[in-house]
Amino acid sequence: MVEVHELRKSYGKLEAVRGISFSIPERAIFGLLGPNGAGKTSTIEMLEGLRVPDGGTVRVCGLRPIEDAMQVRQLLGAQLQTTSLPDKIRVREAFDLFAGFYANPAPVDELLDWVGLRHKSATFFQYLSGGEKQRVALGLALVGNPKMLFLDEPTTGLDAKIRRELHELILRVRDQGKSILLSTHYIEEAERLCDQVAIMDQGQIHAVGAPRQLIQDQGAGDRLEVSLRDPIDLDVLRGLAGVEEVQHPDGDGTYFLRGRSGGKMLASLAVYADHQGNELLEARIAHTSLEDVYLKMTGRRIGQ
Amino acid sequence: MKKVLQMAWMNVLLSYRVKIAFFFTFVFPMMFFFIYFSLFAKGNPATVADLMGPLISFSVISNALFGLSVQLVTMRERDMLRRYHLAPIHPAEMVGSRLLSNYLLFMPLVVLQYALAVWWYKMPVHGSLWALWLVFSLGYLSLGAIGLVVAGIVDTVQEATVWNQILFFGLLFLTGTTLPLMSLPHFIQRLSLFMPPTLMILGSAGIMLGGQGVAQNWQVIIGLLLITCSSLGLGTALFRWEKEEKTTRRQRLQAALALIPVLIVGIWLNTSASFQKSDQAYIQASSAAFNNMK
Repeated sequence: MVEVHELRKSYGKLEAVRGISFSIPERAIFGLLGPNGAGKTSTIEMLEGLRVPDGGTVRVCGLRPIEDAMQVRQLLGAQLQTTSLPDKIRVREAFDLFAGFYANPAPVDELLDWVGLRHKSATFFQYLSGGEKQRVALGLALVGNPKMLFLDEPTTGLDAKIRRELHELILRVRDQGKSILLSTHYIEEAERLCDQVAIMDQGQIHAVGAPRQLIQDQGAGDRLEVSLRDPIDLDVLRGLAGVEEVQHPDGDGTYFLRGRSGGKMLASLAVYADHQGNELLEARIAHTSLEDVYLKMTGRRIGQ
Repeated sequence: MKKVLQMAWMNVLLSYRVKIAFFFTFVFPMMFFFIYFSLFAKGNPATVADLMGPLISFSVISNALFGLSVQLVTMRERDMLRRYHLAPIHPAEMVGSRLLSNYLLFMPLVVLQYALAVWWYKMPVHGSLWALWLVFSLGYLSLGAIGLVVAGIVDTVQEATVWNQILFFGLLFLTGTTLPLMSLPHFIQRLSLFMPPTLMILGSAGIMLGGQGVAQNWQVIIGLLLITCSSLGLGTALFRWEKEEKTTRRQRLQAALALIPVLIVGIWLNTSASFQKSDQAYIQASSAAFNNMK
């Protein structure tokens, strides 16, 4: 559905996208996971034909987004990070207006029901909540009955409940047979929604694969995140019972330890710290996740 | 065409919902209508007819220039155009829809002012109404298209405002809109024939004061049409969806091309013996109106 090869984009001296390649199969959700500034939006906007690449090739549904713009736009739907519409346009009017631009639009009434906005049909855009505006944006992305959908951080800034509701909608879109490219900096969103994820940082893709596969490749197990009062030598941590890998990405008092058993790592660390007169300030055990994959691949935490 | 009509109609609807837009489209020009005809023309029907062209020209200059370019640049700055950019819409459709919607919003004002002038001030009705509609329409569209060129070459609303102010005051004082052409130096009178408002004022004077029709005003109509088409083409070529896209030097040079049809029209009208003859008559006629105000 989408083929990207050696895609590049610079803004002045800043290389936002540095020769990335990936492909998106049909009927799949493909995630671009990375922090702000990773190059996700630039990548998506080049695929949508909003920005001209400096190098590389892009094919969306077999077409070139810039050269074949009008044909491509009949086939794609897109939700921008922020959707700006006139304050005084009613929800229904916006759907009707945009439906009129496409050769084969989705039925507007069905779409309004689908995104749960039928009861807001007559409401001006300016009076919608953040979540409702995102639903409008998703609805407008779907109004042309697209084959390929681009969602650029669709849940950023929304509370957990609304985010979950949007997740359900996105999964239903995929189940209708559409392909989706989703950018996000939420680990749990990528894990929950994506069939395939590309780990992206500083304009480069560091790994691509199914979330479970990426996690398994890391070695299934636990992650222990600990804060200590006094600094501790990394080699000492590596030598503790059950610890397979140690990372210290922030350079502060927080350490990330990985091993088969979080409890075993914590116990051995607690004993060692007590013996050294050090103090465990905080400890958190979690199963290995995409966050660990991201940390290992980039050497940074996603929120850094 | 369907997309153009859809977008234009939506813009008309939205404009009626914004009180400030309604005020500047209708209420504000109507204040000038009564000021011009009650205070300046003192209700004299003949003077009202003399001043009708300059009054419409005044409204056209402000509405077409400020309305269109500032709206479009504001939409670009607020990322509203991005949503349209993602849809299968050609820049020509977007630009055309903006020009059409503003024209549809403006023309009822012209009809209202003309009707009120006839009914309230007993303005005499001469000439072809069809020709008058054509001259005012092309006058609006030509200036609107120039507004679209302004929207294409500026990056921000502030820049658009500066350019519009320069054009607004230039056109206001050099075209017979606020100062009688006769009182201007001969050189300025010649220069004014390069500007759409002068053609609109002279055309409307020929129709409303001289009882003319389309045939006698073909030069004015062709001139305005030429300026409209070339400016609209250039406005489309310069159109940008994204605020990050900046105007290049090449685009600014392209914008300069818009001057070529204006120059051609101006030179043609300045050298046309038949136009010069009627031109002088209506320069004097429209100037008479200003003299009556004293």
